Amino acid sequence: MRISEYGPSCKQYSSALKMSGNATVAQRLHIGLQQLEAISSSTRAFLGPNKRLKFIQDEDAGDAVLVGTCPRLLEHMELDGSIGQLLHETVRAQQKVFHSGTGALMFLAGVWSRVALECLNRGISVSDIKTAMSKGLEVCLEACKQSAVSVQEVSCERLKEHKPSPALKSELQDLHNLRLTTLKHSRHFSSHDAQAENTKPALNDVTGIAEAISHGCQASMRLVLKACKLQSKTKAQNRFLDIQKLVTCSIPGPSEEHSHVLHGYVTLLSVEQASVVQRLQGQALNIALVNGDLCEKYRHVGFNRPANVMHITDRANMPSVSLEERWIENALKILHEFSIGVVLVSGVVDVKLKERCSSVLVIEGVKSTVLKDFSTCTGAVPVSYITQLDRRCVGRGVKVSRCGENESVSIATASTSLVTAVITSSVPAKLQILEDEFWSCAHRLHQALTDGKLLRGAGATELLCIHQLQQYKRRETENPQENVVLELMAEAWMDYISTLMLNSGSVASKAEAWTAVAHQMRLYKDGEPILQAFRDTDGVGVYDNVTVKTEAWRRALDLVFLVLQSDTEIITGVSEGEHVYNKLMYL
Amino acid sequence: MSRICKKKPAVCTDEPLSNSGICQKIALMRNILSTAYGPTGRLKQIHNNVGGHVLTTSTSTALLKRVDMSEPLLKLISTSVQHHTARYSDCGLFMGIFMLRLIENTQKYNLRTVAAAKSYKRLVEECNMYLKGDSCGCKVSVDFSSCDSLVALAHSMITSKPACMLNSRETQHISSLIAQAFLYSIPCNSPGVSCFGSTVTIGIEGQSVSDSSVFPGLLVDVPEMLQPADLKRLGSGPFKVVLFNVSLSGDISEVGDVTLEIHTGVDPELDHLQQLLKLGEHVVKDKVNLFACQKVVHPVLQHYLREHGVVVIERLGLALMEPFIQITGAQAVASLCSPVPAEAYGLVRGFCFHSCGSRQLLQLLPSKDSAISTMILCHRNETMLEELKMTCQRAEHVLRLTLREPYALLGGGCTETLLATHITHMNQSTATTTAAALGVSHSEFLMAVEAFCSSLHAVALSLEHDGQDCLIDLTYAHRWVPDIYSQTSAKQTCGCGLVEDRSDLEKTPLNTACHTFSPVFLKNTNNQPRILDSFSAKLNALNVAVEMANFVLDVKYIIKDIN
Repeated sequence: MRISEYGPSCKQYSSALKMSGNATVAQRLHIGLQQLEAISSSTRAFLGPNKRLKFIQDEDAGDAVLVGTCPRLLEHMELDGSIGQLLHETVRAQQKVFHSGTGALMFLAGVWSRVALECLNRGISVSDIKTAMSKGLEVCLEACKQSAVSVQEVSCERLKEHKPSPALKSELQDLHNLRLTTLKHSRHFSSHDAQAENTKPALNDVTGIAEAISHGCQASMRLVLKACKLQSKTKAQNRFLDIQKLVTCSIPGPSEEHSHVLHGYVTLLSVEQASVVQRLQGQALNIALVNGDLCEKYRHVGFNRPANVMHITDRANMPSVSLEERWIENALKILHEFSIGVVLVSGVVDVKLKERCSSVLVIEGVKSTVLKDFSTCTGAVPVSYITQLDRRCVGRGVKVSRCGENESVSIATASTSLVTAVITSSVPAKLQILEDEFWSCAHRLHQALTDGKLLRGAGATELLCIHQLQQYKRRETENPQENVVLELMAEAWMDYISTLMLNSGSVASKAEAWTAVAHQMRLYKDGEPILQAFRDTDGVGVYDNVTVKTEAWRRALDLVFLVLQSDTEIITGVSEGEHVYNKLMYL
Repeated sequence: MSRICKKKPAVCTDEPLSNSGICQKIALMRNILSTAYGPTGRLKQIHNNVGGHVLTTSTSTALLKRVDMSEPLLKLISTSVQHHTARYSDCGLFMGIFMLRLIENTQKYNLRTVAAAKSYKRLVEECNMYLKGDSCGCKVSVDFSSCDSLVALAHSMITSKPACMLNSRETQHISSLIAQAFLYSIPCNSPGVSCFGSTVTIGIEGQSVSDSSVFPGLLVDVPEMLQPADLKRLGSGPFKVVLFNVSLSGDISEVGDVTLEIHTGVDPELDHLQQLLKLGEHVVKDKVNLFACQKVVHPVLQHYLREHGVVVIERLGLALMEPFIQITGAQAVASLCSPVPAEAYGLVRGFCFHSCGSRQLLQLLPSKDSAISTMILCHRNETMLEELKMTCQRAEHVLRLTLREPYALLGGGCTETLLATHITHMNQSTATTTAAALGVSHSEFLMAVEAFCSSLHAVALSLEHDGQDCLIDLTYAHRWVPDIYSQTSAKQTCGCGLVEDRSDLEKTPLNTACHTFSPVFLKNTNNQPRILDSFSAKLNALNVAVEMANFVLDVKYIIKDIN
């Protein structure tokens, strides 16, 4: 009965597209949801700790890139449709804030699109799908909220059940005295924290937490922990891990084991600069900070050059030195006058000036956060023009030192908590992936400490979601359609967990994964606690960030809803008669 | 080498509305507008197919602004709707659907243009009389002693835009913020001529909607080099303010597109900078604490001012100039050559830091009673935030319109069904005399009435997008949607929420044959209408729609210069 009644409205989507002279409209057979599903299915291999990398080849240019994460993949794909762009926008927003969780986001956007499509096929109206799916997500979020465990518990659990791997042992010892002092004051664990502190003083360290959320990137997480340790040595900061004071420097050549963390700002050097560093090493230097480019032609943003300028002269003998030459002379004079040893420039530096700086280390392309840190630590004031420099703008107390045999330099002050992770790899193509991994680990740890809570990872939370959805379905509802939607959502979680298990190698096939999940669910109903669908390689628990996960879910559902509710794609700037697009109607 | 082309003769289309291509495009446009109508309206994704920004919306203003039409008639229609929404902020889709339906129905009934125009004009006058009269059943007056009806108006506007993607709790929060911002914008205790203040909207992406809030005064991004310690050093207010609307970037771009001859040895940039620094010296001498500029301030001048403890805000932007002037009482200085006159200085009472997500904002507190407030809107993603920002600004404008005409119309399609029933009923008995007075035949007039009323019904029908039936009750003439899940607990109400369902209320599908009856005026009900529409906006939309439809129907030739 229902289905026949909803029939015509479903056809409405499939009816042809409507178009324009300059604007083109495409009404879709829910092509949007299909597209979303198709694009996101390409990233299934990115789910879980064992990411399989992808090569993206550019046929025109002939070059290829190696990618291991969703944002990088989308960056290199040519997405001209509106769906692809909306997806990219959503993934970029998640990446910008959390540097993590994009795999889950894309996967869920895909499977939930399939859920919505299936609902449409069964004749459920768009508004009913929307209501039921939001309800479903609410149920899942509630499950997350209740199953979250405090970071303290995670750290205790790990130390109890697991002897640290030799690689991590040294870090563990170093971090022995490093407690989560800031977290003690958090209202979440104020009650039992004091007690835990007394009985097991060493347990509350971050190593356990870091390990639990390393998600297969142990090496990168080790770097993050080292950075943590270095940062905590400078007492100036009040946070445990300060993401703002973290920089990376990629060096191709040495093998990955040579990655390390150094105090201060580390950057690659040219050969000429190396000798400058040699000369400056060991002295307390003055520093100048330049916002913008360090060259004669540079003008600050918002400065409009007059278009037609003619220089005239009434003298026959033109001065022999050019404007640039005079500027360089002047700049060098100023640097000398204030005995500047280091200049950090956010833009580029005039090549001739660089060549003539024999006693000043000039570094270009420095990020503004680094400039800011040096500004607060040395008292230097960033200037836009070198001519602007006066005594009050000069910072003091900077030291430079060469790092190892690599052509890199570390620039630091005693008080800064700025830390650089030097990431090395003998395979240059992997540098970007390693850097992304490092940032992802750093943000996960930072987020864990901010949230103070973690979720059971490796599919355990999703298993709980399936259970909660099924529980919720049992109660009386006024809307029979809702149960269909919730059931489909539970199946989507099944797909998620089984893909996770398959990718991690704990099962050989999807069928096996489904059996394992069904078995788990039965056990859970009999009162046993939910176990993680699979465990870490060394047999300990895996955890996820609360906020990262819940935000990724929300964003994924928002995206699916936006697409589900759209019925028309309007393309502007297309003129009639251009038959490049099929089924277009012109307005 | 240039080539001379022979000039092509102009192309003339005769009887454009009998051209099937044009009719198809009109139907297409109507379809786009009517599928976007209402709380379950479908969204449109607009982009340029070369990687430009994707706009997801169901708002007529945003939609029509981005979509270019090929047909002059469609351009005309699109422009008229845009003009309406620019002035009234609401009922753009209503106007578009009604107008296009009226054109299509006239074609369908094969009515003479002159007869149709005369009849429609007469009918819309009847509508105006009914809506403005005291016996109008689809009007409620806005009660300013409580904010309920204001919030209900804002609420209806937000729920009618599904791309905002708010749940019911978030909708409630945003509706009350809009009402709050509206109340802030009304000046109080100001003698003489008082004018409205304004609300500045700031969108912050990535935060939860519940973080949205309204602040009195103006919020601007914290200047890059400003530290909280700098503000502490300033002590307590009020602070002296100077505001420039010329660029202080130190360039000589204002000379325009001419060739400059510069003598070697002369450095105009340096001279200019000297001039700026002289200005800085003057301002410091006058003990200014806040130096604001619409455009860029030269970094050297900024540096100088900061060293003397002056807070510098640059790149304020044109949009913030007026609120800034209102808040500080300063006059924008347009010259940097003469010293700043004493009366140009303004005052702020104090500064306050706020942070929301990744944004650091500086609140400027007004020194005197000024009706400026800043609304911070947060949403999870850019697309939804964009629609929310637009909807909130429009809703606040609609609330302002209630001050001029303190009424609201019943929403949810009830006004349309009521109005159509009223018009049909009114003209039943008087059709002969009216037709004679207008100089049209009786049957023509009856057909015009039918075309008019079914166009109104078409708008009410456009509210439904999931294939459900729309009903009209035969007592009050309100619009109903059958409840398929038959909840026994809650009593069902009509589209606007004013009438409660009861067993003896007879209903009939909206799109079937017209039933003629006089709608009963609902009195003594405890129910409050849940959904309200702007009175002024709908009244204007109705009138402009009829006028435009008559105009379009009257077009005989389209002459296009194709050179």
